Amino acid sequence: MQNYPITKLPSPLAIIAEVTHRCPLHCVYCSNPMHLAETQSELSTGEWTGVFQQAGKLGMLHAHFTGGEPVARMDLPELVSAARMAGLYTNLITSGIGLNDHRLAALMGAGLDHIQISFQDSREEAANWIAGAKAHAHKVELSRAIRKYKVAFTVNLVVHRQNLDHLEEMIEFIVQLNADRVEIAHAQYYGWALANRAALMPTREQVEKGVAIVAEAEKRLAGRMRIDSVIPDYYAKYPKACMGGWGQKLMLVNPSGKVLPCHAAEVLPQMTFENVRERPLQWIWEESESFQRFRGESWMPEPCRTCDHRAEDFGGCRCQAFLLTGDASATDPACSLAPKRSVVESAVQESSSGASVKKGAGGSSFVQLQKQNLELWNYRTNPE
Amino acid sequence: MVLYPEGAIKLQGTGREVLERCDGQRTFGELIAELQKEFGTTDPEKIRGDISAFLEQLQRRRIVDY
Repeated sequence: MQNYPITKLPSPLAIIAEVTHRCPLHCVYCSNPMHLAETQSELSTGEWTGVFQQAGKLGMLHAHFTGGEPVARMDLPELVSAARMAGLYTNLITSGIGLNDHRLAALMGAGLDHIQISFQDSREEAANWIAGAKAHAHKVELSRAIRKYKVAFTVNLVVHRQNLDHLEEMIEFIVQLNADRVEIAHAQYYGWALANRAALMPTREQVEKGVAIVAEAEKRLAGRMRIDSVIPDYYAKYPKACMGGWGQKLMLVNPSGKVLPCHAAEVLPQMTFENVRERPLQWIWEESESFQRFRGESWMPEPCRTCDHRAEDFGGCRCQAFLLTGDASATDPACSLAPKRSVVESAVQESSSGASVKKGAGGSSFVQLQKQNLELWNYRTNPE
Repeated sequence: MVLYPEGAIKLQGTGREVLERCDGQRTFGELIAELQKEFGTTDPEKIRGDISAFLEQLQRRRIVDY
């Protein structure tokens, strides 16, 4: 394996701090690994503070607080403040559950720059059905409280087979929440979402209609609300430039201190990931085997190696390649040029020929929801 | 350097001059007048056009409001 020349290696741009895997929601498309980090292994306040200091020194610009539900960490304001002190722009990605006026004020006092609330749907019953929790009404209330502060506010909306048919209604709902920005994100099939793919994967018709609706909304709302969206990769011609390239832009630190190039990398076999408890971030970025494994182009197979797109999409996602083909070094099968493209094509065909959108079975508790929807999907559970 | 959700822009020269004046106090007209004075040798209408295109771009990204 040829090492990437260190002299040319840029600083990472951002740290993704998965401060806990605990979460009061049970979203069926959760991007967390199915094997979650245990609560007792979580990094302490002091350990996280050290991590942010190192991130600032390494030249990183953004700190994204995520989880699980980051608000489940009672020391979150201290962590935000530590990241802020290290010169990082702080972004909190949250469901909002666990945030009341008092805790929101504490986070703002700590200097939070940007808050991003996830919404599962515009319709309360459907939203709670996806989340496996009664969360929707609280999110609406919290969004109003957020607008009292001078903080950037983004709404994240995950779209899929079960909600795409009323995308226009959902966009209008987000406009009413007064968000500065919305991310319309198709579910990506890793972890829980891959296990539940049959119930989540949209039809081609849904995807095409969705693209047109978003394009129209972008034009209509220009200057008022910014829309960021991407075409789901199963329906695209070329794969997504996952994380901006392996070990190119981002470092993810999981709740127990393991440092990963992306959210899903732990699924890759025969890989060892370093821990901030044992190694400095800079060493991990520059010298660890894990960050060099798929950095640059020397690992690439054909057709990527000689492809004109290789500097744009880097051969796609390594985790998706492994999950769908069993080979982490294969061309991402989401690419129309991939030798194993047929795996994605058959999933697309199944979704278009399969049963139409299913009506969700509601329930008054999580246990009831689990029972009623057993044949449709598995809800995300919590770590030990 | 301007940091915003999911991005950063490094501003130099004129862009920086413009953004430093976006302080929530000055009006668009005042900002233009100041810069027209500062860059006296350039056509004032060109200055107005360039700055308004620049600010519109930033507003679309929700970095400034005016």
